[in-house]
Amino acid sequence: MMQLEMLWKERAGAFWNIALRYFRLIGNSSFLFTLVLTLIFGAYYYSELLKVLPETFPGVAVITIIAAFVIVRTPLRFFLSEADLVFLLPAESKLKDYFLRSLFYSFMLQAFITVVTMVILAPLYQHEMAAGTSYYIFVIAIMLLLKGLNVLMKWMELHLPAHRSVVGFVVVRTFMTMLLSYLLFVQASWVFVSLTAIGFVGVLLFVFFPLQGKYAIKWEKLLALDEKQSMKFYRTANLFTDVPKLKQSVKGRRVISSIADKILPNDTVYEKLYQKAFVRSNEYLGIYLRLLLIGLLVIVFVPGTTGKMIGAGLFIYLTATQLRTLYPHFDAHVMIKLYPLKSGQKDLAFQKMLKRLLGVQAVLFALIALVLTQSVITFFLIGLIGSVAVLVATMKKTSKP
Amino acid sequence: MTNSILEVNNLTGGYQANKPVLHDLSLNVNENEIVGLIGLNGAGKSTTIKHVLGLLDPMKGNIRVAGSTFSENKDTYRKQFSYIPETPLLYDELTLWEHLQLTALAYELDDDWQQRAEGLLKEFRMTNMKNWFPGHFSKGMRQKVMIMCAFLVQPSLYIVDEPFVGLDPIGIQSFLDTMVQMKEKGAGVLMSTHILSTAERYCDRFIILHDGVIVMSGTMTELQHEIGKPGATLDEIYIKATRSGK
Repeated sequence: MMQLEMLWKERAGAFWNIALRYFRLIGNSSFLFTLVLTLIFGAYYYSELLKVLPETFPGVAVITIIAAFVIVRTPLRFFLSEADLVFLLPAESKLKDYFLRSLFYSFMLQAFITVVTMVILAPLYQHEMAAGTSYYIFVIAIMLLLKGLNVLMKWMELHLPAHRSVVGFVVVRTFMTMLLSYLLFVQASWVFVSLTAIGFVGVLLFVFFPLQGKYAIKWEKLLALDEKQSMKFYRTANLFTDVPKLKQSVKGRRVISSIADKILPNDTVYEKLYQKAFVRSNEYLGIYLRLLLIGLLVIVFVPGTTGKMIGAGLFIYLTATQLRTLYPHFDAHVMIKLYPLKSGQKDLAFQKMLKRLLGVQAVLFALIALVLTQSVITFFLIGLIGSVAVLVATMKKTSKP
Repeated sequence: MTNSILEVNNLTGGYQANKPVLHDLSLNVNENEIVGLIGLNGAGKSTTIKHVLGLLDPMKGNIRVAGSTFSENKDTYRKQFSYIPETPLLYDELTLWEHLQLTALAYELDDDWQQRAEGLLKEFRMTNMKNWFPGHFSKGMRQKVMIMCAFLVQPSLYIVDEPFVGLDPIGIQSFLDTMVQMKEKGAGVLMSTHILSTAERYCDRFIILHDGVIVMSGTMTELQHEIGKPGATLDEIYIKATRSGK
């Protein structure tokens, strides 16, 4: 039954089985609806924004930076398990095929992301350079090639021992990728493009490839990477449903924590626990801040009071949906159930914190609109829609007990 | 005549270039010998073991197993030894027997491994659990799975990291007996442990590690002589060696 050749397929298959189940749950949730709404909203204002973009806007530079970021950032997935440290270690030299498959798999996933990004950037690019579609498709093909080279380079980098810094390699890789994509975007002369491409391949062959021969595979590093990525996936899935596999990651965050002690509800057991979990555990704080920031940007950039109002309402509602996963955070804790607490304290505490957090969001949204438009009416309108959104979002019954 | 199966020469190593954990470490394990690697938490025992396994690359110095370093001989270096980790690392998806199978596959063992495996199952009283999933076993039973997998290989070197925690007394005895058997057949053993009374009885030599440096090493008699206290126990020697801040 057991063959090393089959190992990769089995493991990738097992992961995708679980992943598909979660995808189905995500597809069924109401969050998807909000997301589609946000997308339509975004697409509409993206085209509006292009119309009013000033001549001086450095479009190609922005495209280069976004494209290079997507191409250089290369998370690899290996489907390793901790027990491999004992059982597969002696077979490392027989696992070439296993690692090649992992690299190809990672490439395919990221090729998809690269294409999507490039398609999103297409209108901006047409706006800037007015190049033909066929040229842009050619550019996308080269971007995919660059992605492939970056996957290989990243794999070589992962061989570096702990005492050798990876920074130099990443800088070289980033620089080469940016240079080549920039030359392509501005439709530079063939001579420059081919010279840079040759340089790129040279760097791969003479700087990156030797690492593989020199150093052993860093199993512990690969394991940590895998762990990080699957946790990211489970954390995302956890926004829609309970994920038992999710390990908690906890960060101290001393300053924010002491601020939260003062501004968030902190008087009962559950208030204290929720407040601490929000600040320190998993991604809750990150999600909240990210949505707050994007929401602020939307209100700044979207023209017209109606657009701003829709944006404010949407982002408050979105934040509420995401934070609701905090509610069952302590359900698996046995000790809390033994504490002599009043019934209903949990729900009360959660609602209170949610209201406080969303309220802060609404106030900030309204304030920035006031500063921007100097119009008290806009301030009140956004404040109003914000309060309504907060009420609607916190009224909804918190999920099953 | 002694033959070194493991040789660590002037090893400086660790996780960060400017903060090495191990400083100029030299040690060896011979055939027919059990060497105890002893030190406080954080002394560098596990880092030493990771370097020997080839999970970390040395910053300076080298490590030879059966005469060659990992980079000289990537294909066979790791087949020379088996490793028992401090915490049992097992696959949730595999049964006990399949773990043994996987070991045989990874080390490319000859077909007679099945008989040896049955023998080990009996010795460690696990025959009944052959088709169970050890992911749900107690810590001691999972440790037994790791021990059986390591002994199944019959390599020339065993690298053992704190094997006793969680094992029941019979399990401990079975482990020690098998280890002595392997030693008598010619294997070398590098064993890190905190259970000093057991180490004292079974190890031929000791290496006391403190803050990444070897502070003392030798046989019991040599160590007793060094602290000038004949008849001292390993506990006394150890406390003296690490307290004096040598």
